[in-house]
Amino acid sequence: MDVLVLTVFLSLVLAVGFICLFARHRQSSRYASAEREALLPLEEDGPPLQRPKS
Amino acid sequence: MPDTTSSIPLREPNRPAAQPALVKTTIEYNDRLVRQFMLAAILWGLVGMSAGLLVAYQMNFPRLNLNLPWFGFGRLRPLHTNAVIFAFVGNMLFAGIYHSTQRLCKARTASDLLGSIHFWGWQLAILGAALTLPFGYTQGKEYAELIWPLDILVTLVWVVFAINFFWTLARRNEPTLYVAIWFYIATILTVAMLYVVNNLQLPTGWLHSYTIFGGVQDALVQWWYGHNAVAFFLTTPILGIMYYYVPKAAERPVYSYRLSVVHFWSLVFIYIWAGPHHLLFTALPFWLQSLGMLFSLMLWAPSWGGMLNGLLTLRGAWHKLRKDPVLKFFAAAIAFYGMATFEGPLLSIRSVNFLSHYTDWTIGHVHAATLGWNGFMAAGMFYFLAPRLWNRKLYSERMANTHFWLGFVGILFYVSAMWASGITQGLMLNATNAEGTALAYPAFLETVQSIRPLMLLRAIGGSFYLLGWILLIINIYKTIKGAEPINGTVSVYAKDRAAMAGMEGSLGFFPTLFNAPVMYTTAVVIGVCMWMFSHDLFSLFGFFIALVATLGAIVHFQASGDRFSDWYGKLIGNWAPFSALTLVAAAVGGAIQIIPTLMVHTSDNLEDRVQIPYTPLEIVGRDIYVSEGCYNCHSQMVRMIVPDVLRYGEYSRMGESIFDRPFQWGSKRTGPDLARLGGPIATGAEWMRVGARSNSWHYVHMLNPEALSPGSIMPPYPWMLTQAADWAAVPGKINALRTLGVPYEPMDADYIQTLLERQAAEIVSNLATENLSADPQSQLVALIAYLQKIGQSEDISYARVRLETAAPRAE
Repeated sequence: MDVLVLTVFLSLVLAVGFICLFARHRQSSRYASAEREALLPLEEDGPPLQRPKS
Repeated sequence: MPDTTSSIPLREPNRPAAQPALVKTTIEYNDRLVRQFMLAAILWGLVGMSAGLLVAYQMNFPRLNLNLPWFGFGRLRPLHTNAVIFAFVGNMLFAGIYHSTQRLCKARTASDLLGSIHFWGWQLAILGAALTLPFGYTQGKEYAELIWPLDILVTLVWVVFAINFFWTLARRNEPTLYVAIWFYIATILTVAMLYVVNNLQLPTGWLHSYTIFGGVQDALVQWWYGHNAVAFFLTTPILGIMYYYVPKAAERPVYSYRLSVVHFWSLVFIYIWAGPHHLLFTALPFWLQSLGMLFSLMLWAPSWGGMLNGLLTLRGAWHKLRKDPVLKFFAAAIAFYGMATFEGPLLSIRSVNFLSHYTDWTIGHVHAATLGWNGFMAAGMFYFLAPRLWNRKLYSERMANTHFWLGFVGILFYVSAMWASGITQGLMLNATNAEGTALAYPAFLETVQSIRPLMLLRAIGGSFYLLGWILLIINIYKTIKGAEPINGTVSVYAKDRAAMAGMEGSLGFFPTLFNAPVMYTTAVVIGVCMWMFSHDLFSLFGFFIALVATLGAIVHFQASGDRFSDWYGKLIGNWAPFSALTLVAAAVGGAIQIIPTLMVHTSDNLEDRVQIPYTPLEIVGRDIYVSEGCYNCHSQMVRMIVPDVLRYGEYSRMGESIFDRPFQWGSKRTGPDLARLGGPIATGAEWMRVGARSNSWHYVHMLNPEALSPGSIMPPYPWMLTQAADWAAVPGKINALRTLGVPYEPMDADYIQTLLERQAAEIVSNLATENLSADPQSQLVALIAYLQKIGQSEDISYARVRLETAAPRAE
């Protein structure tokens, strides 16, 4: 039983901590981190432009 | 310059107008330029690799030189190296840079016109090289052989490239610069610096010039350039390409972005110092050799950091390697990068270099990197790009996989053959009797014969690799034939532009240089360098500086709450300050090594002897020697090691080549060293010298090396007997050399003509005594005059007088 209380408590701490950090991160001016740039190459190209046929 | 961005604001119909921040603009990338560079790289790759294969077979079968001047090994080897470096890898890296930079900046290349000038200008320079090098028009410095008009063209085209690139960064729609772009910035700035400094020269005509640096200075500058051509042309741009395309192909972000920060700055700072490791045991001052070796060893850390970062990006995607040829090429390329960057520092350790230098081991090392790292990254990138740029699936993955295995086996054959060859010949050349007083293998040719089978295996390995490349050509051709080229697009929102605009300019010049992270880092680097490279109290003081700066940084950041990443995040949003810091990091090493070497007064810092300036005929002969590319196989540097001294004679002094432009210390001994080939003026002669070999020996040897050295792999030079040497250009050449500080007395054209005739006549008369005839103005006579002069010096006291008065001294 004690284990259950401890588990719930730690889970709540983690969850609240996560929410707080997430909120702080959302409010930060850059909304970015050093790792965000690492995602840049993963963006795919858009479709080619449709040119009017002459 | 008109705005060439093809922008079409898209707004869906029947909806209220979007808020300004959400207004979308679609930008079309300039992928035509990418396609052009890619196809050029594929074509020039074929040319460069074919030239390499040809010279590899020429080494095995000298008859393949065909007795044609423009088809000889000495002229084609520079064609091979320049073609694969500047034409193949050059076009490949431009394709990768233009393709990835546009996407990472979410912006079209700033100017289509500049892009076209860049493409066609670069092809023109390559064409110029292909037309001049086989005809012997060269500067005679490795990887910097191009003549001065082509150097100017290359420089101008590079400036055009730089303008277009930085302009694109300034117009980007992405707040920060991704790590790939940092490596591109380092490439553009550092290559410009290296290329311009190493190619400072004084023209004597449209096709000939003398480098402004002489002897040891030229050696240091050349290998500062030569080593860093590998670093900043063959490595940093390819690392940028790795950081973009490997995550892209593996569909996962780079393993550690923070590691890439450490990788970039440490690599850029350390690489530039390593050049002198090409000159260990030579006449280069010892402090420079030590710096070169130590910084080479330090390169292990950043190189392997980058290699691991690349390989670990494939975490969880290793299973894809079984089928995906793109990832297969990338993974193998990164592994070869790791292997080559382990081997490079290893070879720069003095005791290893003792064995490896001037042998095939170095050639194996270079080809592990170029065939494995550059060639496989190029292949992976092309297989990745072709379907995307032509909107059609790759014609045959099976064929691409076959290419991979052919190339892989080819590299293994090539590299293992060169390792075995280099170590075998190195051991034989350095072997002495038990007392260390005599060579175990005194005949150089015997050591060459022992590696002949390995030389053939190397050529076979190269054939495999080339066959694989031909498969790539077929595969890409079949993929794009009849396909419609397409250009990628990106949608950009007004808020993206605003975010970028808010970032750019947020860091001024002063805060860029004078801020806590830069100051602390600089103090730590200075402290550590003082600690390592100085003695006694200075060393202790250096340790103290490094310690205080480290502790100070920790306390400062903890107390103030500042974070390094905050400052760095701002730095990578400001392209100009970032570029300035990169240039500083890359320039420091070269400046510390080169400036003192250039500043010291020559005559006050030489050892016991100084070179005797060449006579007019010897100048002609030397230019022929350079033009034929003799430096590709023969060194002129007896190293300060026992086996070299036993084999060739006294070790080479710094002063013995101090007026040589270009220096000819060499980097490879396919044939023996020539530093002690020359000799004194012959008895009864006024100008003619006779050294280790007679004039008649040189005569016969140049026309048919095998007649005197059975089993020699040196090509014959029969045309030298019939082709006239260029005597008319000598007055201009002497004027140029005088301007550069070679102590010649003032001489008019008539006097020079007289000297030419008299020395040539003496040689011709001497040949006639052994029933050999030659035209006095033939190339052969001039070359003999030069060969008999190599390494001839005079006492420093005579040299001082000559340097001060520039007057001739009677011997």
